[in-house]
Amino acid sequence: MAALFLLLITVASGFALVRAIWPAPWRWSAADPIRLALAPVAGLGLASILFYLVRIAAGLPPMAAAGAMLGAAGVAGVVARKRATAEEAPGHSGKAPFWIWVLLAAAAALSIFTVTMMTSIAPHGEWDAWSVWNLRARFLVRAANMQIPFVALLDWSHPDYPLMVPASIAMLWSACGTESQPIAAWVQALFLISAIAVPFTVLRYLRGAAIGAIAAIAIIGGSTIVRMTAAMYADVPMAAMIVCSGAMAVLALESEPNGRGPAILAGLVAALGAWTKNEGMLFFGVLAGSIAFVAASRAELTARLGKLRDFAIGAAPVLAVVFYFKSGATVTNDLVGSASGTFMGRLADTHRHWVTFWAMAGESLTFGNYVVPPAIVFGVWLGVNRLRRPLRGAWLIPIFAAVAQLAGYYVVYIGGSTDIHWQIDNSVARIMMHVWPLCLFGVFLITAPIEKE
Amino acid sequence: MQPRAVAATLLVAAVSLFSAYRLFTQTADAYTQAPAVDGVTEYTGRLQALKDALPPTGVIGYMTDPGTPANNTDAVAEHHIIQYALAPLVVVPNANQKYVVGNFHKAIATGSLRDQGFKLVREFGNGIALLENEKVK
Repeated sequence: MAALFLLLITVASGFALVRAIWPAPWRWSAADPIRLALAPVAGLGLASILFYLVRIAAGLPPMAAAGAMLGAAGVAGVVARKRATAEEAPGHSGKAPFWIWVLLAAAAALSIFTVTMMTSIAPHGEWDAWSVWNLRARFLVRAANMQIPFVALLDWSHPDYPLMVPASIAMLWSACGTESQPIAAWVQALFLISAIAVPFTVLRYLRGAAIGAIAAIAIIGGSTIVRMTAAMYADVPMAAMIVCSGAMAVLALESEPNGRGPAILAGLVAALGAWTKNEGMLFFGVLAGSIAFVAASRAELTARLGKLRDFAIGAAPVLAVVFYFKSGATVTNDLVGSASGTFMGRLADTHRHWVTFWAMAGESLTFGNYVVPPAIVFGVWLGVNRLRRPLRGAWLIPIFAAVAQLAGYYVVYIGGSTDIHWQIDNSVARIMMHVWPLCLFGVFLITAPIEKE
Repeated sequence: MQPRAVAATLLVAAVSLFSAYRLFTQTADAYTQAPAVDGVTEYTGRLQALKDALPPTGVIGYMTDPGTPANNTDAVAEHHIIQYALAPLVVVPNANQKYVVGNFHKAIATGSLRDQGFKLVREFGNGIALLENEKVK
């Protein structure tokens, strides 16, 4: 019970933080479902950053970290109250037929039962959970000397990996007074909820409930994301950061021309991605570049500068923590630590290109337990429903950013990987999953209206 | 909704739900056959007596059956699980420490260990032993 209460406090803290950054009327308002969907990511991000600063950087006791969390939640609540606005745009009024809600409920029920059973079979998760992520959380809770988890003697456990997942689990374990595995599972489940709920609520707000609901069903259908939730790796949190920041960026550009909140939140969450996995740093650059350059007209480009400034404002505090953490790392990342000559030499190796291209192409055809390749399913979807016209640059940001992220992974595989076959076998499904929700968000964003507008 | 939009929605929903259902049935099969206690919990439970016998922090060595290749997946997994169980004690994958956790699957003569400079401190059963490396002061 105490653990569930702490998780609720974490989500409530996230909701207060989101409302403090993106003000709304004090009562429940049209965009509050989006804020609530983003709350788990924001709350766990806050918990993890505070745990790092208070426990590891400042070396204060666990109660100080829990106190800082409660204090930050209180401050966010007060700021949200003071910044409360009079009105908010109502959002899209389209309704979804009842049967779509039934299908969404069925998909949600299947995924809940699946994750519950998987977590019951393996409560400590799969290999990387107990050799990297949950191991680091145990070190953070148990060690009196906070430098121990990062010593070079533990180089096989990747001490340079950022701390979003382990520090948020450690914060909850410390506050709860027990290393409860269900808490670690719930943290993963909260990230999954945000990875589905944020694209659902943003699409519902911008395009109507039917498009939002079918997008949520499709994200759950790529069942790798459900399986990886129970594995307790950092890949579902990474996918959540990618889709949440991408969706908030689109919302900032399409629906909030004068409001700064969604752009600041997009930057904050993209930076939390860099705090989740090293791949998040790549996505931060990809998303910033996409916001700056993916436009259909010169006028659109000019309008982007202000949004980019807000994006940077949101990201700056978290990026400062990431750089501080990285500057103290005793171990260089095994992928990016290759000598530049070796990296360039590998880039010229046609065999590595051949292997990587076909591995990624093959995974894109078989991704997610689908009986039909997803490209065909969503190609038919777009073919039948057509593209939304006239196409605006902002709508292309999700798909452009997803493709650019995969291109970055491709280069890292070829240039950085020492054993490319092992690396691909162990990660290609996970890295495709990183961009899966964002890709689908992009597909449904550019779909022509399927209900009357 | 227009009929063609309904058809496209049903297509996406059907394919997605079938994918989710397939994972559900695969998981349900595994669930019915899964042991009452999972492997990691069972393995770390066996290490409780060892954990109680060790200091809570510091660095300790680790060795397994002689001749085991460094990239043997099972051996690497067991080292990682032992580290997971004993954290925040750091368990390095070599025997160059004063105290060493031995994790053996084959019978090893105490004399053979002594010849290599290791004194048996205590056996914990299931092939787990605490050794003292007499070459390290």
